[in-house]
Amino acid sequence: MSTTSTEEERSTEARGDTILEVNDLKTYYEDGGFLGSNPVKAVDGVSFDIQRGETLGLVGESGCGKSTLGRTLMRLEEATAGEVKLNGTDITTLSGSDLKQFRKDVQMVFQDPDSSLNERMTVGEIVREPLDVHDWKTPSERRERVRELLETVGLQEQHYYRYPHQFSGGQRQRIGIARALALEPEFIILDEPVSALDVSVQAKILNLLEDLQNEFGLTYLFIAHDLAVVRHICDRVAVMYLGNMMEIGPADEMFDQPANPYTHALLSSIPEPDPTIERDRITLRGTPPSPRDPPAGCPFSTRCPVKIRPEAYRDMDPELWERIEVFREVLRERSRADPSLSDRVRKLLGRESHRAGMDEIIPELFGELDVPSSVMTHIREAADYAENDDEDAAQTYLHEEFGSVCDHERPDQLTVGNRGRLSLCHRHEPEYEEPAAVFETLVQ
Amino acid sequence: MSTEQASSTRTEGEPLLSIENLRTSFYTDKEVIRAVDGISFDIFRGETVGIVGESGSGKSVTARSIMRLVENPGRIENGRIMYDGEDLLDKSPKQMRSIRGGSIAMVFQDPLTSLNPVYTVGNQIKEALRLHRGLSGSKATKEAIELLEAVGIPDAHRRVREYPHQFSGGMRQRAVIAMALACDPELLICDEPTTALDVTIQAQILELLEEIQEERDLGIMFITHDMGVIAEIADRVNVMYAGEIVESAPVVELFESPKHPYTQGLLNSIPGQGLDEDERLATIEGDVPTPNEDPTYCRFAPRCPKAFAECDTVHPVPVDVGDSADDHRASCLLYPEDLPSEEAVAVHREGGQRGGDTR
Repeated sequence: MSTTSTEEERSTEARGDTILEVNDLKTYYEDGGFLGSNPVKAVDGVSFDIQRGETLGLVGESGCGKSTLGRTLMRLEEATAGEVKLNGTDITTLSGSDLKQFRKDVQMVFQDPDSSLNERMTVGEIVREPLDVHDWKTPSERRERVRELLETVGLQEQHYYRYPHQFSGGQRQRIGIARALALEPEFIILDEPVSALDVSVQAKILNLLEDLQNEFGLTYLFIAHDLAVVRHICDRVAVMYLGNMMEIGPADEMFDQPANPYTHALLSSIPEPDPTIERDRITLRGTPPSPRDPPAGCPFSTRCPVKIRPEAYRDMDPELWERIEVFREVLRERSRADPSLSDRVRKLLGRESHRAGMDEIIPELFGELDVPSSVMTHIREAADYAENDDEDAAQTYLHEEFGSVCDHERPDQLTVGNRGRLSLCHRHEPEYEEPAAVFETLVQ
Repeated sequence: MSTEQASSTRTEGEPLLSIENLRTSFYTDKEVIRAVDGISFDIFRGETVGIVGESGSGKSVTARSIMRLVENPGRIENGRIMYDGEDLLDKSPKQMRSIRGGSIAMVFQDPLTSLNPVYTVGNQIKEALRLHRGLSGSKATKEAIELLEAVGIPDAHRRVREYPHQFSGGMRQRAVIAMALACDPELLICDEPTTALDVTIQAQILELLEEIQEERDLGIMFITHDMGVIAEIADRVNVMYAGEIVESAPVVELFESPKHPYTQGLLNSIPGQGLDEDERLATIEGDVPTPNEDPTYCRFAPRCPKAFAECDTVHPVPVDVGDSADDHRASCLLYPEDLPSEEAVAVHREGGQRGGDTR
């Protein structure tokens, strides 16, 4: 990644005892195309590190790559590029007995206790399985260890001979945790461990996880989409969007003063359990773009409410600017959607295709607004391209006219504040206004 | 669309929907489970009534009972569901079919299961328009496009010809809402409509529901387990526990001064309630019981930190919590707050005897 981020890494390394170090990690899912395959870029160049004994939260919307990242750290997925160093050893290339040893040190707790526990095995067998696999001591010592573990996670010894279906969701998650603890790992990846649970049960599991961390000096990577939970349990938080790490830093600071526009929007969209709060909610429009075809510039540029505008359009009516962004979104959507068979036939027959219809969309988007003629010319021009089924040309045209540094250039991770917070946004460059300041003006 | 813009407060006018003493049970070989056990509440026009509770508390069965969608081995055993002056439980299956999706519409949790994968989204909206409003052909198409635009789907002219799989999760839920709105309902029942969605998309859908409600003066019944969502969208909240409504209050009142120990516990177990990072979360001991017998005691008593001897022998009924609170009821022997303990218990004992079966 950028020079700033590597420098930052070195400084954090010096600060404490780093257990895990991730450098420019990429995980792509190839679709096995022979030529010109277009992989899903699930994790697209991510760097961070985790200190011993800390809890790093990993948050983001579904499909942002947080689970893939967790699974890549576990070697459940193969990394496409980059390195993952656990205690200084790169684990992406491990094999044989080294790999087996690594699997002892890192464990995982999964989201859904239903699918991660074998219904045909007793609780004792489930928790004992890792011990059996790694040939831990003698069988009777293993049984003793399992009983101990059950107690540790708040179950009872006599649960040894019961089956998972006899337990509630919270208890089943405890079984999963006991299994993860069996080999005394130092690092545990918790992939949405409480998402499937009711709040009152969730609270118990969170308390248990904190107790275990204190007792055994564990390091957690806590993957979740519930930000309230993350704020409660994590020391530092990393926010992912479309395979990129948008912001990483101390939890309290980040929740109080989000630096990155995406973090800002994400936090403002969480409903607070307090009906009296008057909030200036930033509702993002649309959905994240496809990870097969991420934007060329900033990953968040297609939805960013505080995107940098080109010089000429700085003073444009925000409503109109928003509509232009929606128009670009529509074109993007259209070029992504495969033409249906009937569309193709229509085209062959020289009839008007359904995909055209620009004379409907333009009034729909811009009808009620007072559009300056100079802007309208550009919109018409783009619409003409689209009318001729050339969405790409239309997009390029709009890109050149209304695009900015956010569309053209991938931002660097820049340092924010003085506690090692990093944020991926052009607006932290000195020549632009900070995102927070722009949000201020937006909500007014 | 809707021409009526009569804004109504709770005090004036008839409720849109009034549920009285509803009980829905499921008959299994082993036991009879009273999934919904004697609940009563009203929904007014233009009002959002939230129903919260943990899984298994009977929220969804309540919604399905109103729509008469309870399937074997479930049975609605008791109570009345008054809508428009008539009891929905007396309606024939045919009458029910025209009410469902007509004047009462429902939005489910998972939009994919409520959309048919082999028909275009437009077709499915048009089906509702044809069945309930007799529209067909290009008129129906035009109306379908307008509905999709109304729920904020850009490029609706093209989208109307697309299939559900071509829509993203948030778009699908928007399409389902468009379908629900197709016949100009008066009451919209939303069963965890945002649970399967990401927060940024959830925010979009909640905003949309608020807009629609304002435009059409809809009554909304909103089921969720997320206290944050409830705080955001509801005007009034009913808290369910083991098939019963244990507390009912206007939303601000409920969050500011929850009265029932269960509600208090539930609110305290949410992370981030002005809690220090290092502080432990409050928990509720034990698990939600299965309501499988006559309520002769308080179902929350085994887990309740404030339980006393009478809790095991007297079934609490909903009572006003005190003088100061307006329209705030709790089913707990601790209330009414202004009465001494014995008298309060006596109120519940009497109330329990009075309320008999009506069906």
